[in-house]
Amino acid sequence: MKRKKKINSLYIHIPFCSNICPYCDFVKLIKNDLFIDQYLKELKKDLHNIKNGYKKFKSIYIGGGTPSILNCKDLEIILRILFKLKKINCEFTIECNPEDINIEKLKLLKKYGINRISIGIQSFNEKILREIKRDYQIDYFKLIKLVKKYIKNINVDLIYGFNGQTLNDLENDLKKFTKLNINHLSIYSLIVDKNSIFFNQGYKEQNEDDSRIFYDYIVDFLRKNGFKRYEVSNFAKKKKYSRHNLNYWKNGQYLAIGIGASGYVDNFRYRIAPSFNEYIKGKRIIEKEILTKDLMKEYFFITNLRLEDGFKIKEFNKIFKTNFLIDYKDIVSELLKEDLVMIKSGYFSCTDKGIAVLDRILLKFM
Amino acid sequence: MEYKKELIRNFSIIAHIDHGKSTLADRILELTETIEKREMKDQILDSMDLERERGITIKLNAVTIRYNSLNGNSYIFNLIDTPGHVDFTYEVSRSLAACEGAVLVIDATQGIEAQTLANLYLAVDNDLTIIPVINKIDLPSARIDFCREEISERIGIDGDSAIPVSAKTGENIREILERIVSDVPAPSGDNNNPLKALIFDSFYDSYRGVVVLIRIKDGCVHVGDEIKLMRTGVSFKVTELGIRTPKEVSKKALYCGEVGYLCAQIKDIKDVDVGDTITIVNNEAKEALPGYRKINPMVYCGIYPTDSRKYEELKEALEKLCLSDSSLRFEPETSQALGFGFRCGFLGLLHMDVIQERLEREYGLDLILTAPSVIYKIFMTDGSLIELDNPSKMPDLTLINHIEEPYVTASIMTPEEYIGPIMQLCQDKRGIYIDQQYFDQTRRVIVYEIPLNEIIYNFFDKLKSYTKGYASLDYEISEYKQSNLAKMDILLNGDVIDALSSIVYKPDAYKKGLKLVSKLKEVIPRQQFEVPVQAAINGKVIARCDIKAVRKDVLAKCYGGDISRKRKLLEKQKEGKKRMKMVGSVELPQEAFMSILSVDDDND
Repeated sequence: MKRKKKINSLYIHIPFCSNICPYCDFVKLIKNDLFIDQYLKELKKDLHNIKNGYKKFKSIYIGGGTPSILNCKDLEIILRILFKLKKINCEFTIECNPEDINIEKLKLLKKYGINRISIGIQSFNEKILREIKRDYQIDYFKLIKLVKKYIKNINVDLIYGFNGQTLNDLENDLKKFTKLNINHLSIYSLIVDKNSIFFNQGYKEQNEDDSRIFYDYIVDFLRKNGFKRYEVSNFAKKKKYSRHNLNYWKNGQYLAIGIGASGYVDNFRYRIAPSFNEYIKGKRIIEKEILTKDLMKEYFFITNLRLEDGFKIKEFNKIFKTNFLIDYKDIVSELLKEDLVMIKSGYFSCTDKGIAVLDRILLKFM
Repeated sequence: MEYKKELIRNFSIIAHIDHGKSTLADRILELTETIEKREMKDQILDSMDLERERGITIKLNAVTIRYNSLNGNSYIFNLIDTPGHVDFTYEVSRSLAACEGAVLVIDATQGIEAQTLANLYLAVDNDLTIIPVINKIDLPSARIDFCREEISERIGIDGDSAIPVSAKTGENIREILERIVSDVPAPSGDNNNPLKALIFDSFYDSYRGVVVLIRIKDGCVHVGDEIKLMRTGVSFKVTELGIRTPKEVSKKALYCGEVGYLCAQIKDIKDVDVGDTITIVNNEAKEALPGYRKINPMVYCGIYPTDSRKYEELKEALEKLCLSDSSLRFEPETSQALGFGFRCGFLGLLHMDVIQERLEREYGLDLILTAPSVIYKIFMTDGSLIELDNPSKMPDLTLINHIEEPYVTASIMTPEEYIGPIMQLCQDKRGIYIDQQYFDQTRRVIVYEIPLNEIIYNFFDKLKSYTKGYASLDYEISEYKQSNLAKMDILLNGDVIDALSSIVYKPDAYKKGLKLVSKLKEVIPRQQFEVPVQAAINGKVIARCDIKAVRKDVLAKCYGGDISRKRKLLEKQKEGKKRMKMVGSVELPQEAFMSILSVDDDND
């Protein structure tokens, strides 16, 4: 029998949603039972292929879309296979919308080894929730208490930078979050992407100056509450970092299945075309980007410099068989002078000031 | 083709841009089987890609056609093409001088335009027989009778004689050719007279030197003849003669009335002036053909490589372009802000655009162009005169007695309802009202004298937007007039950026300064540090704005597929940066240098 390949992480994309969030630019479809059946059938095929070709995974992530809108029967179809694909200590995450969570589902998730849940709360502010078409009222204390009975490792997603949102509103959201006693937060500034409803409505992104003020406030607030900003938009307490996402940010390889999903294997990055019709016909249209050494370096910087700890210089030298500090001497000394980066205990990383303008730093390395 | 002078017809096609001149030329070439349909690229006369793309003719060209007339005779037609833009009025006049007749094309849906009229007057000046043609009759919006009336009323030619055609479908094209046979006179002159050949175009060929396109007005010329260019007095030995069909067919001689090309190992295209007369040493013509004019560039700008290491490449590219473009001038200049580059002279803005595009496209150069400037005459207190083509070189004000700037006479043809806005525009642009005439029941021609400087600062765009595109403009240089002008400097971070200096009308300086600094703030991206932008006149700051420092520039979300997308976004940004110029510690995009041209737009 052929030897199985080793890749640490696996991503599964569930593109269905019960309604479309106006800021979302991911590949998504409005929920439809027939479509779900057809899609899961194809997904199952891909999972079987992976099972035959790859060793078990250290992290598995079911994202969307909204994976939690699948009913228990549908969820079980893929969980049953995934269960066999996970290593014993696998970090196994699923994304959920708050209104989809119930005891029955939680029991099912636990049964198949899901040990991390990412809840898309986005905001606790009713006005903002209405703006993003989330017309529900949920007692988050009760909800989190319930979730914790089954799954202890929880992440919450929040968004900031809505029109009319004040610093006070932001503070309230952060306070409510900390009261829930959760160890991980992903908090993103609202981006009005071309593929989103907001874009078509002419919704304006928060201006650069305010966005910086909000961001600094968030970092400061969460640090005071014992969180580490380990990545640009990710904060964790008690080292509850997301293993799956850390793999992305450390430029690690990962498999991905489902429409619009992207992976990185060997010397290429790929994306499965976001065409539902082709996918359910059994066609996998794969857009490939072959990685040259220069591209590999670019990806190394793009990913690793998002981390507060940056990267170990020795590791860079080892991977690329070179000397980072010599190759990038001029850039590094300029950035050091401007206090945008630092070198500490063999690590190269951005300062707080640097992370806020990371993209400008990255351009220098490209 | 045997030579019979009475069977030669030399003609041009005159038309407004987009009225179908090139398509008509194509149909004529097809119908006469000069070019087989299958080997025909659309619009064969426009040979440069750029021309084809922009739908305009920049370089002149000529083609010899055999036409078998319905009267049984076989004629030689020489179709001489003319460039269709105001920058090239002089070249048009020389092409027309090479003809006896002109086909005047009028768009059946648009009627006569200012530019058509201007070229028509050139044709009439050259005593050409005019054959009016109403084109695009296949379009539902064609107004043939209206056009006929216009022709009678405006041009004074019997409108009923106009031939309705469709260059697109080919309808009635033969009738044009028959009319050329019957109406356009055969060339005059005599083979036994001393040679007078009119130069109406030239281009450079790396094997043969300059190839000169000529029309023999009198006498004849043979291979081996010792010729003389009457303006410069330099002489050459003819190595090759021929006609273009459009393939080159070489001949031993060219005779009176013929149109063809001549090679004589001429190395420098600057020796060959359009409009000059060629004669034969030892049998010289007594006087040159009339109408020669030295053409001087009207608009100057600085051209710099974005990457200063590309200076030599830019120099070579300009040298090559100059080989085939006798009106392009350049000389090295140094800017504190931009480093080493060239001050280049052009016939007009279109000419400048074309050169910029060719440099970027054909030579792969990333360029920074400074805002175009006219030539100012600076009269110094010591009585000397400086001709200033670069605003940053303006001498100290205390040494200047007065300044003069070039004016143009601008004729604007417009539907009546836009007269108000146009007059307002002309007043805003310091225009001096000259005249207003009725063109027909609905249209008028307004004549103003306007500083050329104002014309090159977006006058045409504004005119088009004020009149929904209905007005058309034609202008010619009139004279220099004294003006109340001053140099306005721009300071970034407290340093004067010479490449951003401009010459402004003093009473408008405050307004312009304020608009310019806010425009610069808009086009210059946020920088690492806050950068003050100031406008100053005579060292006195008159306006200020601050470019903010970058505060936040990081993509919030980045995982999974976003990584590839993110890299592509960064790559795009990096490409954009390549087109920016580091000036001191500030990154300036190309638009910054052109901002002065568009400061008025905020009014709209």
